[in-house]
Amino acid sequence: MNAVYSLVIANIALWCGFAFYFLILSKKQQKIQKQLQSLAAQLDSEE
Amino acid sequence: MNKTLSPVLAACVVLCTAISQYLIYFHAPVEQVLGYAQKIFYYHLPVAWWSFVSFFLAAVFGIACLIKKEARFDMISHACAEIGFLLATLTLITGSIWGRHSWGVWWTWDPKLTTALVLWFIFAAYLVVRTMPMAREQKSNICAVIAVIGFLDVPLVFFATRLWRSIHPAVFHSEGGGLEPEMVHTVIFCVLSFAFLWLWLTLFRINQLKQEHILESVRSKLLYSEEQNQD
Repeated sequence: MNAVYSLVIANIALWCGFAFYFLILSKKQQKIQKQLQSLAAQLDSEE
Repeated sequence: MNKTLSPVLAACVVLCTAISQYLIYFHAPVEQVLGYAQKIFYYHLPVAWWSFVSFFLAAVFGIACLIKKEARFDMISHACAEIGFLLATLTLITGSIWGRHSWGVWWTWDPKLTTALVLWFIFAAYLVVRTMPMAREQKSNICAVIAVIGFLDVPLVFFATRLWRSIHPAVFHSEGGGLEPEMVHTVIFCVLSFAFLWLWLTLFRINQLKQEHILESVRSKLLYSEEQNQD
């Protein structure tokens, strides 16, 4: 495999890996925010 | 995570990443034998080292959790193990691409590579256990033990090139024919640059796990009070 090609592929793979993990964390954060909002609404209705 | 700390860290990550990219492509000289493929080293080594730091912290906080039985230690251990696993995966991927160029194969059962793969599997098992439905304390105890066992493999990975015959190069070990000063500057800066990324991801994940924990405990309290009201 060409040296430059290897470097580019490795670079892309690395940042795609981080981006993928960040995407998962963002999705989880959105889910947590939604759950917090629904819980707050539930607590408000009980009061 | 602290609301002021997060943007500062994110800015440091972006700035350091940009500088490290400049150093990798323009400051560090091109190696004569491997050519541009050798520059994979500037990504491969920092992610490998920070994965070791993550696994070390996962084991330390795992032991703390076993002794003190506090959820905060379990959360830190969990976050470190998860990020360590991500970095170990990226180490294997970048190493494999580099290996394909320099050795002509994607994978070889070299001691360093094999021990690194064992480490990856141990922490993969750790993350599988995290998803299993069981009592929180039982789960954190099992995970702490797996983290400690996993960390025992880290010195083996690190010293594999010195302990056994290995085709994997031993960084900062070879006498003569070592790294050029520009290469050393670049790799040190890359290690520091990935430190910011590692810290930012770890703090973010710990904060997220704390939020999940608070949600879980508020929900269980609500359920308990509802049951009490029904009785």
